Amino acid sequence: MQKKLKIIVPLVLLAAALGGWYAYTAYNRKPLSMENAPVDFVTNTATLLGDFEENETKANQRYWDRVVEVEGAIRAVSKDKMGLYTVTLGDDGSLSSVLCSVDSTFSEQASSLEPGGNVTVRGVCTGFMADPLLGSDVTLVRCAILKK
Amino acid sequence: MKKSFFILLFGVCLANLANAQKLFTKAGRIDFNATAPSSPETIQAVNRTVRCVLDAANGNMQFAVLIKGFTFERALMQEHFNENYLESDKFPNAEFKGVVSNNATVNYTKDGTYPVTVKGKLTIHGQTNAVETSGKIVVQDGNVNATASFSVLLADYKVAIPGVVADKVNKTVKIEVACNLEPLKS
Repeated sequence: MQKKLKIIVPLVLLAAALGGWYAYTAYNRKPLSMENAPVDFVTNTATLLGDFEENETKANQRYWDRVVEVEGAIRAVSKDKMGLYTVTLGDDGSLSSVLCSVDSTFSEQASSLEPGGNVTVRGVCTGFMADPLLGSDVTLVRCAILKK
Repeated sequence: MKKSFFILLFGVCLANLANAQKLFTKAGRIDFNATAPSSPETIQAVNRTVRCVLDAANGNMQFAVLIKGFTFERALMQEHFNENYLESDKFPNAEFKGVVSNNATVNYTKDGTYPVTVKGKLTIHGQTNAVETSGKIVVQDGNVNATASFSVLLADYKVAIPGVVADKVNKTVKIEVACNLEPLKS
């Protein structure tokens, strides 16, 4: 009996330690940095917007919650009260755009972007909003700025 | 031909005049905090792609936001928020439609800080409720900044919190809205 306990007790302790370690790491896991995230789709502003405008349901099935890398012209760069950036990609003649909420680790790169230039960003697609007044927008969050 | 041209020009001018009274952003910010007083950790998130339109002529105001666009510091919190609490695959948007009830007291062309009251309907998780809150509109050097802070009861929006985290998640969530608005050009 004592021999059995000598084997079982360390095994139970080991299992408890592994379980605790797993729970701790799962709980404290940070969202994956987009800089190194595996890319699901590589596209450009016009194609991404066109896919959603043509068939939102189909486009959501394809892009929603996926990592998307988009290349396009910068229409605007805005900074919020906390100093975080949102980059708007799209043509000047249209209100429709791809909105990129830039990850705080890329604020420095975002600060040097200027309307009229081109950029490639990678982020998680969170969906599409459209109305006649403001046009249509595809939104990406936690964006990394890859190329300027 | 000449008459048609002037009618068209007049129409375009009217449309521009109407739109000039509308202010908008697509990069507004909403912060929420759902930390219970006894919780050892902070439960908060931010969304920085909030759409907002404010009609300066009559005070009509509208917000729309994608639920999936709220980002948390911890990945697990974000997953639970989307999958278990807000069910963002079923209810992808939240929106507010309302009016600045004392809009006549705001001079959008004169620098100043104007306290406002906003009333309307807020839809979250497929549930719509009437809300009323105070906020302010700051006009400075031609820029218009709108902010508001209010609280919502999760039960009003049928957001169920499991017992295991009930001591961490507050039943009332504090929401802060901040939008730098620009004139809408046609």
